[in-house]
Amino acid sequence: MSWSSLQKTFFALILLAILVLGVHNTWTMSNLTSTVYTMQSTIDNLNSMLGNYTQRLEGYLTIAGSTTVLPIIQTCANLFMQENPGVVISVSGGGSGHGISAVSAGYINIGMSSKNLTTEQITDPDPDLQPVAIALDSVAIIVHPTNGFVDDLTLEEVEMIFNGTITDWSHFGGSGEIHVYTREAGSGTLECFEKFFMKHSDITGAASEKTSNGEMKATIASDPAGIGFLSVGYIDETVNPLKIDGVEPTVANIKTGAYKIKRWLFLITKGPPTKIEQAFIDFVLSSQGQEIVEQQGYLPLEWFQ
Amino acid sequence: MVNLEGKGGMKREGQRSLLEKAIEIILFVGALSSIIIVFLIIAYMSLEAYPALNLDFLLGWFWDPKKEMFGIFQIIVSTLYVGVGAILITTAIGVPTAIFLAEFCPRNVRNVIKPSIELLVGIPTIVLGFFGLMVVIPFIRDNFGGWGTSVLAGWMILAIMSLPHVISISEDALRAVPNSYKEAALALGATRWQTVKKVLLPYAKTGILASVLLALGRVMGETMAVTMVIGNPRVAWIPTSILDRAKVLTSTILLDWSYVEIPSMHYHSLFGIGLVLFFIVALIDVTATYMVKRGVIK
Repeated sequence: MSWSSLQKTFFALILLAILVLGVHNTWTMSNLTSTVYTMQSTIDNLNSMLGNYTQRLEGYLTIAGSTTVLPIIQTCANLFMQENPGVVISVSGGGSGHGISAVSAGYINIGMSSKNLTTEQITDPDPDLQPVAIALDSVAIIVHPTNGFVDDLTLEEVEMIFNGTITDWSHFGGSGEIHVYTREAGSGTLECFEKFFMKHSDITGAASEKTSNGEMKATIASDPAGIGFLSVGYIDETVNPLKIDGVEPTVANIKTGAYKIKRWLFLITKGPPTKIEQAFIDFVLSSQGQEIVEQQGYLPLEWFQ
Repeated sequence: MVNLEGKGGMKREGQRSLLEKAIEIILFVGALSSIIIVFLIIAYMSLEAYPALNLDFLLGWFWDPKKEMFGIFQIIVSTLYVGVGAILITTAIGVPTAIFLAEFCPRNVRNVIKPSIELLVGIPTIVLGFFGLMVVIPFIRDNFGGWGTSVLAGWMILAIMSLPHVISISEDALRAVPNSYKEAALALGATRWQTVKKVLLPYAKTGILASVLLALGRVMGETMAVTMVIGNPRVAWIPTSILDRAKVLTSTILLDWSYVEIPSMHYHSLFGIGLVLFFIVALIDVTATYMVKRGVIK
């Protein structure tokens, strides 16, 4: 344990640096905190003067689940955090199945789901879970933009492609093997797709599994022979959504009911929501939140009430 | 000396042995904790996997959680197919590289090649996966046909990943051959290639084989990059060509984990897959270690 003088000097310098930085930090931090408190009390005073005293929200919210609901909630969370600086919200995906099981296990505050809890295949759904519908969505069949030979499919043709009866694009005047992509078994988008399209059969075992709407879109956008299904909120110019029985999957057509495939999107809490959870859900349901729903390409609740 | 120092020396000796003891205990606790952690993980996995462990699980043909079918035989075969194939590529490129680096390479060239190979180790697997997704898969789709996501893509990505390990360990094994052997061969009139073939390779055989086996264990456990390029059909099958897609043990766990119900047969089966994978990799590693030891004794 013999230290050279160089090492000693170095060590001393580091210690000094830590000390100086530490003191400096505490000083700035306490300064900052007191400034915040002053500002806060000013705002509080103003509020009470106006007779409109609102209690400041503080805390953390973790939200996870359906990648269909994710874009809505991500945007809502960002706005909500701007309006309530004391609240920190973290939003992540994982799929509807994950959202339901994680909120049920208490890992997260709010689960996002595009599956209805009552129609869900889980053998015994947690009775404590409380879903709140926040928007509607639809599912579109998508192909690569350069796929020129198919534009309109019947329900039966979709089922035959996805159960493996039709395996070649030559059936539609093109050429080459059809690459069928599906979603992981917990997906709400898959559940909705199966409910409307796969009435008599199962999706072929040869279909490749993708784990999110984003991955599905990227895959179809890069595979000229691919076909898959996607939440309408994700559709952009990188993929080509197909007409079903002659009806395009546009928001207008879903609204009028001409495009029949639609489903509810939910936020789920375990037991009655806490104050902060309730505040966030109310925000999503407010006119501001519903405007975000529409901006993101989904369908606001009021259109169907 | 001891007599001259007398009591003072003895005391210092005692203090020193106390310090020795303390350090010894600290080191022992460190070693013990790693053993305990390994033991805990194995025990936990076995406990969670226990309800799923039966012959239907190991030899069952279909893995389709939606129909409550949890057979992993096809997945095991796919995993071996993907792993062994990748290692054959690695060996075909890695061992000649190691021979070149150890015997034929001029020093200044080696100073360029060796660091570049070692740089490969630092590439995170997810980055390799991205590379596979954006470069390898379109390349395969455009030039060989098929889906692009394929066993071949998995082989290429895994080969890149395991190359540096095989090269470094094989080169070390070749360099460990005593100089006198080499000099004797050269003195007998053997050419450099004859020396490599008749003296170096037979001597370093076990070391090279061990490096290959260790790399095999590593690629079988690799998850992220493989899942991204291998295609993952909804129901696993045994791939019939190298352009076929496949589902391996690790990608099955990764894909199913996000929605598995806890607890359920599906959940226990996923732990079962983990345990099976652990035993395959452990078996390979033990074999490699055994071979290295035998090589050293010989």
